[in-house]
Amino acid sequence: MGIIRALSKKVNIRETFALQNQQYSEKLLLADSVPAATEKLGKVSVSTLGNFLCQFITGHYQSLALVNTSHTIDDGVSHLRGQLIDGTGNRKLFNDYIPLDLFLSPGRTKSASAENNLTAYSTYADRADAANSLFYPVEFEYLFAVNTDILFAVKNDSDVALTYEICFHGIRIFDRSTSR
Amino acid sequence: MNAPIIRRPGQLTPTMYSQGKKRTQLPQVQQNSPCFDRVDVKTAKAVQPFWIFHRLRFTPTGNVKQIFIEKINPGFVYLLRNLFIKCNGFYRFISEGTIELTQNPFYCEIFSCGNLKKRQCQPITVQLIATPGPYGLGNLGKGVVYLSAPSAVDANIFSVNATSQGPTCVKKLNYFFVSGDGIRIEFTTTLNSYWTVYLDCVLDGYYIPEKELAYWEGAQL
Repeated sequence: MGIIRALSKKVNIRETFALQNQQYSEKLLLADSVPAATEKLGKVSVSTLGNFLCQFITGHYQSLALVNTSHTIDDGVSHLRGQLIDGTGNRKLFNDYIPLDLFLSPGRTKSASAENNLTAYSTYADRADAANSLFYPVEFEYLFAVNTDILFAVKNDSDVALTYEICFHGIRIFDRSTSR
Repeated sequence: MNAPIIRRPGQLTPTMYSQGKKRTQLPQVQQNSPCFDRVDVKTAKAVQPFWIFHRLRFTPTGNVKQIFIEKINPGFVYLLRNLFIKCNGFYRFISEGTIELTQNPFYCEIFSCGNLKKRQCQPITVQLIATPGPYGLGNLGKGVVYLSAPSAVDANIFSVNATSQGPTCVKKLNYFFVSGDGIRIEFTTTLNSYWTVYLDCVLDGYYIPEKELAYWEGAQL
């Protein structure tokens, strides 16, 4: 719908290029693996290109668990919780560690690792249903300054290492001193 | 070039709230894509998201009310955009050897602390105002037993078992809480289980400095 409306108007090429030279759509990816039963600080650099205005976040993560000390199964339980921090001044953007399943979409993803080959383990656990495929980017509007780091402190309560990926959707805004 | 920033058609954003924009004041051109509008960095940097997480514990004593209060920092107003709520279910014994996963009814009511002004007429079921909402999960106590997925008991985290289901939709609340006030949210339920039930609540909102608000400039909101 949006693109139809955008194309229904006459585009001023000169102005659009001039604007594009100062800002454009950008995505930053934060991907990390958190060892079992530990906390780890993941980060992605905004880089020296310019400021980054985040608008939405999306992400997915694994939900593996250890059963009977030797088998791993994807039981659909969320084991990760995290706190988002702006590297500039270590400003915390969450008041606490928030379970990832509360705000990340599409959320749980089935692990493709070789360990995840159980459909059930005796009477202890069954493998979870397929992950949710609905997709809803959650609004998160924040201006990250040039050259800062986006930090994400994640705690893993599972007995196995879990990976996650978060995508920050936004606009790259060149620093005025570099765009002139 | 102080063009409004970052909006979808017909929608006000936190930044525009801080500017005192009205929906009717949106420019009629180039409001489709944020990339067609020049971002005003000075305005954008004044808004800071701050998500507030609370985990409430409901013990099985019949009618239960749990309240949490979050104080708003002086000098800022808080714009509550969304709620994300999850609460765990439990396994109900139907007959010997037969159980089913069921859910307690949770009702939510939002107040301003200062004047206890309700933001809604009556408590509303959490499924109707928040996502992901209740999900299928069981809680039989820490480390008691693993039951069939997708509701195996997570023995490691607060004895709470959370089957992952991400948010699938959001209804914007857009509640303003003034500086120095507090957000008071009451959850009530009637527990039908023998086990403790947990409710996770995330307030998705923004801190906006008072000096950025339009009322400092005499504008009418």
